[in-house]
Amino acid sequence: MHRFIARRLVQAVPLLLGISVLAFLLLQATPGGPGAAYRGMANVSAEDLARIERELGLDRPLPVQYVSWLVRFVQGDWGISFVARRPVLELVMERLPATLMLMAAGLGVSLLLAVPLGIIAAVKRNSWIDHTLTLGSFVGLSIPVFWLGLMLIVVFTVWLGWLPGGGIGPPGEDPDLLTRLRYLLMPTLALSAVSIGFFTRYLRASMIEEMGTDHMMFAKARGIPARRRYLRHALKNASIPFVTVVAIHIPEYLVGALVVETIFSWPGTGRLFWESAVRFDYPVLMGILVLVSVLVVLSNLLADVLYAQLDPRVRYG
Amino acid sequence: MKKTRIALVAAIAMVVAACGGGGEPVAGEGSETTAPPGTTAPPADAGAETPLADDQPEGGVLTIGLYQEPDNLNPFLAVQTASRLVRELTIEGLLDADPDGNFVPQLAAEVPTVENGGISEDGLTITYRLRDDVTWSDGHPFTSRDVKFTWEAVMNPGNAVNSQSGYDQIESIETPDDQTVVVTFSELYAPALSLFSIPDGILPAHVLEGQSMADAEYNRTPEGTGPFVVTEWRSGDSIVLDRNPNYREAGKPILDRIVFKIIPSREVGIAQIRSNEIDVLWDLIESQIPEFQALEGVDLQVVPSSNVEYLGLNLSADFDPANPHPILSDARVRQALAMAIDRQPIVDELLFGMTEVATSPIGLGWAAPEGLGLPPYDPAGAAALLEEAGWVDSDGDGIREKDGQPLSLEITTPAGSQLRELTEQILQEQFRAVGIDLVINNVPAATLFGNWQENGKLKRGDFDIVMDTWGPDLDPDAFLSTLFSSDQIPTEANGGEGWNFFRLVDPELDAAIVEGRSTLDLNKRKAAYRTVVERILDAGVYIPLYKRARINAFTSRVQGEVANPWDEFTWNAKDWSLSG
Repeated sequence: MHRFIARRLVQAVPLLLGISVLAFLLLQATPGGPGAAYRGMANVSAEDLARIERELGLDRPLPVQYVSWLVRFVQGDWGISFVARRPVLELVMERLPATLMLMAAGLGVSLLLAVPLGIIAAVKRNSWIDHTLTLGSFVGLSIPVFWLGLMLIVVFTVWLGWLPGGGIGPPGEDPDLLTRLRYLLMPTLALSAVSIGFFTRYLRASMIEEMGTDHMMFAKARGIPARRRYLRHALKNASIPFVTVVAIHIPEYLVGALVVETIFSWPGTGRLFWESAVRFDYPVLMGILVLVSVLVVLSNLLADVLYAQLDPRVRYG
Repeated sequence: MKKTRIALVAAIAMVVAACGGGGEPVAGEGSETTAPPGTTAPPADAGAETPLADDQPEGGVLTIGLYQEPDNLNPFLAVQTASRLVRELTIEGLLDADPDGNFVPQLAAEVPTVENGGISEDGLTITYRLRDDVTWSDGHPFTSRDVKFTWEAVMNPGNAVNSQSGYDQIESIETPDDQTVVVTFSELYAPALSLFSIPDGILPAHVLEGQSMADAEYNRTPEGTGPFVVTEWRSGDSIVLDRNPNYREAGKPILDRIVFKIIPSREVGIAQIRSNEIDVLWDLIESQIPEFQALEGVDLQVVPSSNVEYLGLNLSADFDPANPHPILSDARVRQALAMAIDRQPIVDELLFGMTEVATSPIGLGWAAPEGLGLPPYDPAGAAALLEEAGWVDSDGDGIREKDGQPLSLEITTPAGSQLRELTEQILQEQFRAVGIDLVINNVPAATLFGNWQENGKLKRGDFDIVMDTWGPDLDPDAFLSTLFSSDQIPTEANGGEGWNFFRLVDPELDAAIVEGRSTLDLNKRKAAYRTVVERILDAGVYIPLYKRARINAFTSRVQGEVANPWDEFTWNAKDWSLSG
């Protein structure tokens, strides 16, 4: 297993390199560029623009720019943000905890809701409960995150005035746990709606498949009580693919966080990415893109490892 | 099967741990890219100074909603408007601008003039006498050394500042004593008094000396000489400024603390000002005016600015300055367009009568010439001019033709502004009434304003009429030169430099612009700018529509705010107080 993990990590290196080259080129190909930020500033002359490009190193050939970025990046120097004029690593790491908190809350809520709902839907298959849950899942799956987020704000902030419309807490204060949860609630719901639906549907399908197998029939014949059959036997086997799916799904939360953080002005890396994209802040964008790629690679690795751990028939070597 | 459960629990625990482990990214072992200690979000000092309103009955805390987070607070590096209104509270310049557009002393003891000996007869030497009672927020005295250092920092190639314009014309700076700065220019630079002042400021030599500004701590928590000082900046959340204990003016500022709260949008800001979560909301858009007029306890501050919403006409065709535009190169047609527009309905209906119509490119400030303006609304006159130019509706479809070509023009503006889209529709109707077909084709801002290499529509001349906002600063030279000098026409040869996208060539106008910047004598400059405005209106390539207004909302418990079209609304925050 260790050898498998080591090999996968080694394989990830060229993959990440490829991703970084692609990301670098795509960023350069977007119309605009860092100079766009200065447009409309009458005192910034064309000479100023050329000088800024030179001083930021943007006038060098692209391969040179990429290699110099890469060499510094692997040494932990992610460059300096064009916009904030601060080290990128500092900027990203400062924002990461807020994003991880939101992701953890989103994943936690999704699992807490989807696991029982998936089981119930499978056990009560084709009942009105199942149909309701199916409908609910599809609604969750198909509502665009940005729309859901805005609707939550309209209802709970503007109409009812129950929940704050954005931010991670009252500005300039250190909130207590309850206040924190009030701020966390709506972004978490918006972020987890899709995965609640998705996880519920997936677990339901796995459970149903499992419940139709011979050994489940046999267990029933042996007189094992239903609750025990479902939870001890069916759920266990159904959880093998489910856990894998959940692990692979983790990067989806990062994508969702980009939208959710922007809507709820959640000070995380997703919003930082959006703001940096608008302002063509290449070093920050590269930093976050690489970080996300690493997370995707690791999530996939985690899925494979979990699969082997859960299913004794699978062996990597 | 027991193993499975443990694994499942472990899996979830791992996932949660990975997500909740604050600062420790999943990348994990051995990778140099993980966060070094100390870079995670600092646990803010709880307890110490959280209870605010109660134990500070005098000054109180004012909260301002910003929908844009400042990029940084360094006056020479920041691009965002939001940055300026935050640093206005802490970073000062030698001079400031009053609401009438006149210079007033800030860190200087007086405004240099020829009369008081501050400006030499040839205009090449400016002597500033500095106040002697100023200290930086950390207690260090402010001296002439700081002024000289500011120039050095701007010219330092490692600092990548936004603009060196003007600073690069300074030959030397002498500091004979702590309160005297003698700035010598290599050639005359008319906006010289704006340097070190608007929108710039003075940098603290004792803080920044010997280090690069590129990623200095100063960019985020600057030491300043102003009434407030930045004490905390939580990214994406808030910027906190507290009263500067070393501020020179006794009893000022009145407020103890100003908190800039970063909000996701203006809409959220409106909800928060209704619920008193914020006291001030920055930069509303015009369509939000009625909502506020109906709101109890909130006052709008509407400041007509020097920025003018205008129509820009392209004189060339097929991306070639030498190739005249088939329709717009005729001065009579341009004149007809200006006369066909009734500006008042735009101001009354779309801007709720809260701003003013504009008739000149320089509508405010010392350089604004009086009594000059476009011809008034006159559709019959416009029609007559078009007839004269040979444009006649021969087929009765309501649109004029000439040589079989319909009188059809395309208007473009950055997409996404409701106000501009509605303005275009009004223009469309008004033009149609005189037989001109106006086709609306809005594009993303990047497409319109892109540089030469990006095939920006303005730079390349790929448009008929553009609707945009632009206007002069306190010193109109940069605005006028960039937009109207014939050497500022973007071409392949000059790499697309300049913004004379009208492709207007007028030697008399060029001469007047040069004259305006070749003296520091304000009366001579005013006369030159009168000629400049005359020539621009005569050319008819720039059709002003209305003055853009800056709109801020204040709850009525905020006292002491004063509108200043030349500065951000926080310019006199030291005089603000809270009632009730």
